Amino acid sequence: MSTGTRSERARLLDALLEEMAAKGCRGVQVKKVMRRAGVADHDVGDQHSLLFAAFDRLIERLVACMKGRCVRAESWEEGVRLAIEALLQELARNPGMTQMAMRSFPALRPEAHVRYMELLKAFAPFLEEGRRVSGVEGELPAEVEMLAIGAAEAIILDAVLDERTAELPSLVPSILFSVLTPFLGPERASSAMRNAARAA
Amino acid sequence: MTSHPVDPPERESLGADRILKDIFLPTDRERIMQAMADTCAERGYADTTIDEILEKADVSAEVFAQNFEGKDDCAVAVVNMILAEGTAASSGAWSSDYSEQESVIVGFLALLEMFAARPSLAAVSYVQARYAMPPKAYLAYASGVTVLASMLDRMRAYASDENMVPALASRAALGSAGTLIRQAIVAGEAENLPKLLPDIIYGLLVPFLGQREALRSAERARELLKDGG
Repeated sequence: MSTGTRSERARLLDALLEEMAAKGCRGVQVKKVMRRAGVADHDVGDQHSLLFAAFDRLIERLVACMKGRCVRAESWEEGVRLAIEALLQELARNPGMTQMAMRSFPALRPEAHVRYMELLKAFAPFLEEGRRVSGVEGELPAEVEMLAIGAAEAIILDAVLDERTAELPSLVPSILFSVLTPFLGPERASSAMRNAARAA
Repeated sequence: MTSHPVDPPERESLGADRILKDIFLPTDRERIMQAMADTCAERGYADTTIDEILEKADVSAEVFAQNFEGKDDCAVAVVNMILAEGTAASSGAWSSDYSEQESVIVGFLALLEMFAARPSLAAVSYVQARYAMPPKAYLAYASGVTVLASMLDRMRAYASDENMVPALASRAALGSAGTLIRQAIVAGEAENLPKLLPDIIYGLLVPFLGQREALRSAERARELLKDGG
């Protein structure tokens, strides 16, 4: 379905994201959001496609935020730390958006959960360099990036479901340990964790 | 003293259908729970209706009401059933002859094989209960994760320095395994879950044992799969 020009589409998707964060995915009334965003009232078609597109936009924003922070890194480990810090600060800044992204959206329907897995995979490029840094590149599991991402996601989701989203930045050291360990082993990961705790 | 033979008390005749029902066929409650799991896996919990469950289970609304207070109650029962079956599967695989690492390997293999054989239970456990079901069902799921994490915490004793492993390491390690499992479920490849065992074992054990030992354990898991589990 057409949703007008690129800027109209961007405005609509941003407005949809705000609405999804405020009301949960099932509470969104797309036509109302379109009017508020000043987007022409085209035939909406499949509402879920728009919600999925809005979620994709959120993925792009989060990845851009993390990339912007880790350009300053002097090492792969530092880059991972900076990326995790950027992500957790962004998630903590908007608890409603975080709840939506990690619970309401994946629960929407099975196809939404496929999209949610795409969100997790979007973080894999930040970790790929870790294979070379590991010293055991040829022996690591094929999905070592997803192992690391899954470890972080578990800690983050537990905090979100426990209504401790605002505390996410304090979890950087623990998350950093769990993300780095599959690549570097626990001793090097623990050293990075202690440095992160000191830097906080 | 003489004993008089006594005829056995009259017994109701045990027809073949009753024997089969008692031994082989699921109860109404079990059929309803399986129907709940199948429908949730297919449509998601939010879009699962009691009407669909009734049709799939081939039971009436009255029978449903005799067994469950509502959809949420049925969901909690399904999650608890999965916890019970998962516990039975992994403890059934255990032997006192196994080392702690081997116990983790065989226990997890048993879980993966159970979920591979029953993909809708895998979808309920790793997707629906975690993200989509109401709070009571989530809490039931979370209690299962807590038990697994406390079992994995035993591996701290094998770390080169227990103090370097943060408190959340076990929870995170289970999350790493869960993500690989979830990825396969969402891709419709639950039947391949056992093949993930080596990578999962690496993710579970590396925070405690270090890379070399975790890679060795992953190799042991690979051998176990080749030997037929």
